[in-house]
Amino acid sequence: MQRSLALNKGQADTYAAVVTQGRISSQVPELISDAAGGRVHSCFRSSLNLEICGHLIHIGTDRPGLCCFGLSVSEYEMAQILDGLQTDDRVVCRPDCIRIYGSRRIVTLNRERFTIVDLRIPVRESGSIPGAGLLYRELEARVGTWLREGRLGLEPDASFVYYSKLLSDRIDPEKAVAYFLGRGKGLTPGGDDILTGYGAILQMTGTAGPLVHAVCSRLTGTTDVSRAYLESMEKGYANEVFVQLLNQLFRENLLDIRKLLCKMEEMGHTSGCDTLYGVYLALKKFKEDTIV
Amino acid sequence: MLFTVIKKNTYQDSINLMLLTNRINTLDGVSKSSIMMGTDANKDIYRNSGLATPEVEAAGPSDMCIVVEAEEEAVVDRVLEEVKAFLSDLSVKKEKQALTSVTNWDQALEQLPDANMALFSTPGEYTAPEIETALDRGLHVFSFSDNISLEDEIRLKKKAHEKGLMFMGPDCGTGIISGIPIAFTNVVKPGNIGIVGASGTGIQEVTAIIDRLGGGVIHAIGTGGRDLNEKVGAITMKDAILGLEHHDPTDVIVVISKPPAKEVRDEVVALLQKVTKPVVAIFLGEKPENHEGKIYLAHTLEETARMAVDLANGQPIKDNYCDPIDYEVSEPLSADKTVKGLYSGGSLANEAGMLISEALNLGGLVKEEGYVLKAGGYDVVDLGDDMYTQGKPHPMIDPEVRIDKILECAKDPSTGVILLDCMLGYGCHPDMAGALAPAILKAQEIAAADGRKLYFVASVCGTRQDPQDYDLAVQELKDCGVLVEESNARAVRLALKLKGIEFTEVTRGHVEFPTDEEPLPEPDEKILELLNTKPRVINVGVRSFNDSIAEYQGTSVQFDWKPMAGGNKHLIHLIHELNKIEEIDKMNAKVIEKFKDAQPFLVDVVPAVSVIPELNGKVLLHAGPPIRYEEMTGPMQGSCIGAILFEHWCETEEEAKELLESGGVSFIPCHHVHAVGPMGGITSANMPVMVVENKLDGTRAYCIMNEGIGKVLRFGAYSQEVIDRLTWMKDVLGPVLGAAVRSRDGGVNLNVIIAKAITMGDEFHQRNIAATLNFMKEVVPLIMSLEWDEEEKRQVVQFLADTDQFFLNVMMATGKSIVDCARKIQEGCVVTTMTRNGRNFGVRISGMGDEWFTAPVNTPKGLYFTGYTEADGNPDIGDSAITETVGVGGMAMIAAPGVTRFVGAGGFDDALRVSNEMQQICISNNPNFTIPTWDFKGTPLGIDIRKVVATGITPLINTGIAHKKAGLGQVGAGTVRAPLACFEKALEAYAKKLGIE
Repeated sequence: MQRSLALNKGQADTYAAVVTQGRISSQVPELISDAAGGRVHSCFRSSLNLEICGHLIHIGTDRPGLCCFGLSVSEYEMAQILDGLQTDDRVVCRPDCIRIYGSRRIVTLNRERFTIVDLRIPVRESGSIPGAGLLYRELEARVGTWLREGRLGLEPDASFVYYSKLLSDRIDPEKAVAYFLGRGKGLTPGGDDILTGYGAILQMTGTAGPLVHAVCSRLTGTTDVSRAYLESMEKGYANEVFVQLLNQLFRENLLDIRKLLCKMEEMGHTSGCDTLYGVYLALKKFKEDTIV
Repeated sequence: MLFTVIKKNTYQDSINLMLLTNRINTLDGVSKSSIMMGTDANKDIYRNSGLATPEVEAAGPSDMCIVVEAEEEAVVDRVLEEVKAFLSDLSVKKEKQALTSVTNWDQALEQLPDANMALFSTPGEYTAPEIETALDRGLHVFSFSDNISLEDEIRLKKKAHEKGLMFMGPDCGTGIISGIPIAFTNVVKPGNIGIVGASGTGIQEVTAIIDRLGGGVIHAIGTGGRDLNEKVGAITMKDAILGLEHHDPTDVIVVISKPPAKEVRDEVVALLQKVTKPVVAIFLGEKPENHEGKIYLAHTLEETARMAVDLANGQPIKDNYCDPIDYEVSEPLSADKTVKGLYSGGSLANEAGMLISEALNLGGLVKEEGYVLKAGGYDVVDLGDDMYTQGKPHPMIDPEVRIDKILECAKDPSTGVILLDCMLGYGCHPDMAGALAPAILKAQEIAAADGRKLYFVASVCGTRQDPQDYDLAVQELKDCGVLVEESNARAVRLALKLKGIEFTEVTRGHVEFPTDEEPLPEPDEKILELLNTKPRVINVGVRSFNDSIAEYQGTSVQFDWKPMAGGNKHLIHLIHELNKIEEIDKMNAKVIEKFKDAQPFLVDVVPAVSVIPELNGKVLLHAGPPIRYEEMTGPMQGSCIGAILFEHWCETEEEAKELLESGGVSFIPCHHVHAVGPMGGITSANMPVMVVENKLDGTRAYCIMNEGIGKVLRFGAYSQEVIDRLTWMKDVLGPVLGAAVRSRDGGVNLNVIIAKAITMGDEFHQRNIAATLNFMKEVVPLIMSLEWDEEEKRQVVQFLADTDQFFLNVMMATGKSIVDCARKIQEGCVVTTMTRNGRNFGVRISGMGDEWFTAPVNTPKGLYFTGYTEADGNPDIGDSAITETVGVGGMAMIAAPGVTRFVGAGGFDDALRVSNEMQQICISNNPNFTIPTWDFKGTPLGIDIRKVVATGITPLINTGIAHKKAGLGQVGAGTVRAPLACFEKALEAYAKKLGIE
């Protein structure tokens, strides 16, 4: 991504910076109204979250792909934004921009000039997913390795196996959600990522209703970031790489599917694998229902 | 009994001195003390507090006055130890901070070339000219300083406006620029609200509440309390409003003020109506019934903040912000009980007074001296008012006055509620709540013992980013039974509720406000630059004001200010007026160019009369400005006797004295005939003089040769040995050296010798050994090549080898040839002559030609030969200060650090300090004479009398010390300062010449 961080002329310090290039998830305009106040929710090494109108808005770089409730900028601009920024610094949302008031600089993200990226989960009203079997087989080949190498966020004990089966068998989603939601460590607990992956497949076929209901009633039981992902899933949105993978199910290109699977496996500590595990559980039923 | 100690030229800012006073007052044996600078304003305070003493009356503005009331004098020693420890702590703190310190504007701008703001916290009586200098240098001004006259404020604000700059103040205690807290301010998260306020604590209350509500403030521009005066016309406020209108990150504009004059209010309101951004305004004291046009009018500071936050978040304004007070009052206080407000913040006191007055239908603030409100037992006091802060720290810094008042109110049976504010933020007490707690508890005990109920109600004005702990402050107050509310307005309402009075706000309507079609003017780009960048600040005054700037990513340089010209306002005025004339710097540059380009060569040694025709007859030259024989001190009179005997005008000492006393000899200053003479400087017709020609324009100068040390004519000795030596110099030394020098085509190049010798440890006044050796290297081959009597040649070479200081006289003639060339430019204010005759020091400057400016000389301080003391020393004497005039001698002490040992404990650091100090009064450096131990800087060049008078730093002269009695010779060597009065007189005369009175 080219640099677009404009510096005010003649300044000794880049106090007021304007970012005019970036990408923005198609969900973001639905989340934040035209004019509102907010704050910096959390800062990390190469990303941050804002809280505006009660919603989390992620700002990151393109390396891990665009977040379904976020914007992405270049690494240089990210460094400028994060420089001196702290939790609770003020944020203002205007029709044309999001402005972050840090102690070291004010950064204006001209969101109306950002490229909108459609991160809706693809939906097939017919209920069938052509590439489901292809993906399922790929996942089946990997799940064993994930379990053996501890690449999932949850311990694969008896309970885990039991509730995984509830999900894969589509039995009693309330019970399965009660087990998985909020379970695990980290910003996005492993159980939530499994539900996100699982729910996305159900959203594709318009059968997510009971699951979504179960999830929504328990959202206070998990982290703010995870809640944001689950709410996005509930509204039919997912992260960029995941959406790309889901779109591949309609193209059935094995090579691309494998590339995207590798990308997802590298995401987070275990988040990527956890999400794919949820996909695997959801596709199991499909495999049984659909002749592939 | 009163004891006074005056520490001369020891400047400290008033806040540090107040803290020191507090510390001294806690010492055993001290009944009362006061430590302040000796300014006129402070002397008034001393008089009013019964601590004025003759020493205080005689002190100057740069002198620290320590007055202690105690029974025993021994207490004073402990006081002085404590003072020393306190100042030493400050000094260590100063060294530990990585902050650059400067002492003048040139240095400040050298250190921070992109500075865009000057922050003043200096005594008001001296601040106006400094503010003007800052404006002339293109800096915005933030003036914490008050006591600046209304006339000056008007003039300076108009000047600032014309230059496109902002003058925030005077008496601007609080401000935020680009998120950086300035002066006494809370730390507020930056955000999309911009504030313009004519009230310090008003800004503090509003910004603190905004922060606690989750909003942010990017700028809070203080205008000073008088900006909305009809004569000032809201100059700063209007410029600030326009600036914020064009400042993209500002979405909401807030205006805070006391009710201004109608005309001014109308102008400000008309301006606000045209602004495109939403506006919230409070004219504290007014009770708005409607919002007007696009301006949302608030009644209280809390309401102002809440409206601003709603607008900043894109929310509509609520109909009513008067939320109920949660506290249940089961039994209101009886009618005879009243509310007493003891405030440290003026605007909060005014708000409290206003709300109480409205609730009780008093028809407005009922003021009395010292009270914001005094009606029917309801008293509201602003303890920050001048009446309560005479010689004491502000109540935001020190709780003492408020503690006294709390206890006083507690003893009053009519007190039912005591209202307090607790201010946090930079500059405030580190734990005011904790400091007040014991008094609050004691007050409650007093009331309880009397069977009375006494409530305390307070609000804490602060944020969770403040240096103090906001939550702790609230808890500490609650722990001692204080009812704490979230804002001052709520605290007042709770106090009234305890009296059974419910305060409500009527929902405001909206009325249209017609505006004209005239577009808004554009703000100056310098104002936009200030608002769009982090400020780069020259902090003039209180050092601690740098802390918040550094903490929040601003940049600053510390200007250690003290009053110019020792606080003499007339001289300060002259200096400022002279500094405005750019031509003077150009003229000075021309003069010092002559210094720099000089090409001195020793071309001859001849009898004095052959080049100084004035020496025909019984005429003697002397050192220094004009003086008569009877006024001369011992050494000079002794030299006269010696010269008479040498010239054979008389044969005995008695005859010579009679001749002199009868007026039989005429005297001319050496300087008047292009000559200079060391010590007494007595030069007669037949004495050989060295001829130095400045080949830049052919100017020639003369000086007798150095006789050596011990009993010599120049120290007033006139024994036969002296006469014989002088005769030998006439008959042998002069002719041989003259012939040698003439044998070299063009003469001996002196610049080369000086340039070499300065790198070898000479400064050419007290140390000349390297130059003398280099000189010998040039002339001895010439001497040896002469066809001359060998014995005479040997004697001459031996004499040169024995006379370490020989080059001193060469340097003196060199200096004279330089200045007499430069003096032909009769412009500017560069010192062209410094000299002394044992009674008076004489100074000449370039722009005043031959006119002398004289003042009594000082007596040198130094090391004395065994058997002699300072009591034996003659006052300063000799033309040898010509060396300092051209930038060597004491000015170049760093080249010869060992010379500092002449004043006792000296060393390299002292030498460096001296040369750095001399640099401050000079214009430039001479690249021809670079000093390795000074990082190869050239010798200081061009003493500017404006800088001498402004800084009070006078040239330091290295000198020999003669016995005050004639004939006893040299008794020591040391240093002496030129008297400041010479330079002050020169400045007055020069200013008068240029039409400045």
